[in-house]
Amino acid sequence: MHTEVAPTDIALGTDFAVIIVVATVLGLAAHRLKQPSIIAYIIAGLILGPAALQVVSPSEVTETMAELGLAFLLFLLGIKMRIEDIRHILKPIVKISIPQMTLVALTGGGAAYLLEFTFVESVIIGLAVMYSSTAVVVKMLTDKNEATSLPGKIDVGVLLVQDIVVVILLALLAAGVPETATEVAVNLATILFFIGVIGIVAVASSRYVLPELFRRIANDKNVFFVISIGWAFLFVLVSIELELSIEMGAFLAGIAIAQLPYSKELQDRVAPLTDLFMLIFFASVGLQLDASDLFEYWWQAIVAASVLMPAKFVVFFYLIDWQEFDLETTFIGSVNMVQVSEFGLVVGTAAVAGGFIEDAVLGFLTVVALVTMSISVYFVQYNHELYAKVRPYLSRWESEGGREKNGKEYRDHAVVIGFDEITRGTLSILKERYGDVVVIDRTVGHIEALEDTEYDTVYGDFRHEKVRKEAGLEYADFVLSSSVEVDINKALLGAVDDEAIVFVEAEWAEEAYSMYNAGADYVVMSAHIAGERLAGYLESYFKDRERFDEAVDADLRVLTGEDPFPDPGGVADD
Amino acid sequence: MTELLVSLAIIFVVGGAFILIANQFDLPTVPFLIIGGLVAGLFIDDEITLEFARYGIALLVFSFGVSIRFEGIRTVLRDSEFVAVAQVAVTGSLGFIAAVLLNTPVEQAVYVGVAAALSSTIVGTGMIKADIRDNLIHGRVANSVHFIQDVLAIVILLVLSAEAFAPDPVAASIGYGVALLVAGVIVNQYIFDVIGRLAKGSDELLIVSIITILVIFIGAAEFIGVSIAVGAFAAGIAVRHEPVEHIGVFNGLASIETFFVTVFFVTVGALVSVPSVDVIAIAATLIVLTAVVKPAITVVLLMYKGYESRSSTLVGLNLDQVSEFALIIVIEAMALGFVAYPVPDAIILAAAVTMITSSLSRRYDERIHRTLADRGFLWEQHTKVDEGSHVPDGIEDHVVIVGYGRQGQRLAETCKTVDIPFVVVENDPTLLETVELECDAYVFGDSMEKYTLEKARADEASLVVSTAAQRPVSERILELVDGDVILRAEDRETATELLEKGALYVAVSGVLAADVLIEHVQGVVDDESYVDEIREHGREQTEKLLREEHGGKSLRKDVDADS
Repeated sequence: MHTEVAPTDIALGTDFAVIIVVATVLGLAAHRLKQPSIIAYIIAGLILGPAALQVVSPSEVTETMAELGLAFLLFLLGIKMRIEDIRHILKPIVKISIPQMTLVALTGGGAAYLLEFTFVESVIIGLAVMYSSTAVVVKMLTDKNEATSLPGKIDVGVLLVQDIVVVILLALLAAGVPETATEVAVNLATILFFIGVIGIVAVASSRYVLPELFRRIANDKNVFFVISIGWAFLFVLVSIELELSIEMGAFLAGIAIAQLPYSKELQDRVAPLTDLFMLIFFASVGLQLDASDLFEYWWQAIVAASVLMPAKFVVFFYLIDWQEFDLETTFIGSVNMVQVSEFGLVVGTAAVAGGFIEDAVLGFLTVVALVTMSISVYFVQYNHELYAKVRPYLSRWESEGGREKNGKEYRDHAVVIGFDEITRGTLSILKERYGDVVVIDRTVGHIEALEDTEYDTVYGDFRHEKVRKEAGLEYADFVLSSSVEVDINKALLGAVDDEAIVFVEAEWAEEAYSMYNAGADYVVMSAHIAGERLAGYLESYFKDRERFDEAVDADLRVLTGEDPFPDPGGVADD
Repeated sequence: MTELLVSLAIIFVVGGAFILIANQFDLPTVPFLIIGGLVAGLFIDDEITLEFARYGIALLVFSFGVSIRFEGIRTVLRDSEFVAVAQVAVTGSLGFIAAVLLNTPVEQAVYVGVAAALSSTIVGTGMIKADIRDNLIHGRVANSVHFIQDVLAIVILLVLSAEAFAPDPVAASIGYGVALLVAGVIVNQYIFDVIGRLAKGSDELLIVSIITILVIFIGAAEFIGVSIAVGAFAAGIAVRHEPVEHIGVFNGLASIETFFVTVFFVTVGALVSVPSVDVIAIAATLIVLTAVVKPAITVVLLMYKGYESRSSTLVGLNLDQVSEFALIIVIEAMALGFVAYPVPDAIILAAAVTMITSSLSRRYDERIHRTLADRGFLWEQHTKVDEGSHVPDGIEDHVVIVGYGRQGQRLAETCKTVDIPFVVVENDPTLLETVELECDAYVFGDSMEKYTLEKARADEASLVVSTAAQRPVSERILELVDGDVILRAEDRETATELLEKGALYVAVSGVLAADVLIEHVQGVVDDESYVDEIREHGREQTEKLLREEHGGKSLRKDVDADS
């Protein structure tokens, strides 16, 4: 495979460059105006695309990045889902999503028919608008840290069921007009079968293969990251081969990793890549909109959008409430989901290719999706504020459905960064005084040594925000860091509560000095301590041999003793 | 579903599998990604992943630009600029000549020379991270040689991207490159902070902003016709920042970098076709030059500059691989149409092979040095040790202090206070002046050499104290000295073993520090106001130390002995 590369072939893509520059500028502007970044990215696409300046048409690179964005978004989501956390809401999710899609499809199709689309067009429109946008909802919820809240989980669950339906629908549309009902049923069964198999493989590997695999590689940051990405791509590849949705594959790959203790840091490592690719994704949504399509059915699109959004809200609200979730969950879970999905466009494109509808109808769907997505971004952004406003009027739906809060929240506890020779002996003292002791460490062996002890552990690099949050760093009363890395300790000193007591380590006097200036209460300098001790011994070696022997003996007992330190089980309470 | 997506998926699945193998045997990942590329090349069309791969190049060079600390360059230059430049010149010329002899066209033989000359920072310094952190001589020297080579690589990229080798375009190209770097500095000084403020509170926006700056610089580089790597380097300069302030951002960039760099290395492997005789001949030559000749030249140069044989050998063996920059240069040259089969194939193969052999030579470096030294290949110059030493005749019942770093200096002070004669053993040329100034008796040489300890009259001494925590050093001292020996060790297991082998006492910093720490934590737990006490005390102590470190000693960071 000997390749001659022509010089002109590999100038770096200008479309990518232009998109990212414009999207970033608009993103910064939106940030100043407190608008969601998604809007800025979509507008960047609109400006650059056929709707306005016509300077960019997506190349293979940007298309791939957009696809990767969605795949990584779902992978990231998967990494956050512990099976035990979602198992109990699986049933309600299915009970919500199937009637929801039916009802919304009927509403959308009916509205389209009233707007004088043909019957077939109305059916396709109905089928295209019944999904909510995974990209918008998951991205917004992730940014707001709500993806794993109860309404978040319901929404995500419903989106995944919708995803399965899209895959089936696409397969059907690709096959052209179905001949028989059996053909439909066979298609359906095949798809569900493959998804089931992949799901089983994912869950089985999370139990039997991955723990050993990741235990071995987790200590090397980059190896860990690349292999995790490789794992996701393995599932993506299989999904492509089986003609399933790559998002589904990526999601299941993520679920398998989520069951391992190493997923926190990975979340923070996958997120930036996802952000970058999602920017391209949203921009390319805007890029698809053609000006002529915009004018063809513009007012019908606006009417449809203004019918669909309230209709979606009402349907979701009714169904979630029916499943006996509490009022807040019901409201938030519904208000997040009022937009039409990017999948609607995919379905529309397939329908155009299958000869069911014309280009202008696809344009109509694009406008509907774009309008509803843009508006709904604000609904998601301000979902809690909205709830607070309308709550008084919703009291008749108030029910006792409150679900448990998961995850432990730490308060006034102690955090120890790095479990080693130096910090080990302090754990039991801290435990006794502060109650909870959370140890953050990036070495698998250390975390394992602390398993089944009374100390909590967080696996990961302290540099990652997810890791710091998990350990409740900002609420800690006492923090001890055995890292000598200046940037870690400075970040630590910046992140803790002002009142907290902070001990850090430093290698050099200069660094120790800057630690004190940054607010450290005590800086351990182990080399210095050792130097002082050695100097002391040297002196007594010549001046007071007896004392030397005693001191050295005492030290050696500590050094060679079986277990000289209070062990991490905390038996040393006596 | 694009073809590119499938290719990327294959790259990561195959690459991941090969990294797993590397991890299993504790070998560096880069060569295994390249080998993975050889396999992935069977399934993918490398041309379509090349664009992603070039983003990998851009991000590699970019992060080099980000990580440069100008403050550090001065110390680096004093140490090793001569060795680095001379080594590059000699090995580079040998590579060039060898390639020409193998019938490579002259303008393409240049790239073989470049590949022979440069060593891999990722692989080389990756293997000796701990030694660099501890500021051991060989760690420091190897690190700075790698650094100088990387800077040279950027210059080479700049020169090579000139459209022909006529002097004029080269000058213009360098001019443009410098202009880009200046633009980078200006952005860094005036614009980056503004962007940081605009994006305040959103790591996502700051990350895409930085990528935007990178993209703009790359675009500018393409526009003015220099390598994108030069643009990426300038962009790195443009966003250089105190990492503390944007800790999440630079972590995020690292993820993006890892992603694209993985694509780069696998794609590089995929570019290789089934090797012909030509390819194998050039690759073999390059492997010999890199794995044998380059270390030899480095050792000679370092010993000529006054480093003793052990440190020199360890540095030499840390440079015995082809650089990722050589790969970048050759891919960029391919993009410009300057170089074609078989040269790139040979360089890529040689890179993969030498990166693996290099990790093996690192594993056995001490043994290799011993063997060479015992067989007399390394002329240990006793005259040189004699010249650099001053030991009073007949000195006895003295203390031999091995290493004149922080702890060594502290011990020397103690000896002065209790009025016991002492001899310092040190092997770092940069500390020689300080030693001469502050000590009456000293030996300048490697403590692992018998002659050095004889010279320090270790057998007549009442005590030998070593401040070097490296196990081979400790073991060697125990082997050579009969009397009382106090040593240092990194951990308890090593300490216990050294005690069994006859050490009088072994200090483990961690254990000693833990003692003090427990005392203070207990103090705080018992009485919160104790905090104020230790804070004040600690601060005063540190200030005192700082004054001492600055007073009289020229080094910002002293050396903890690598004798």
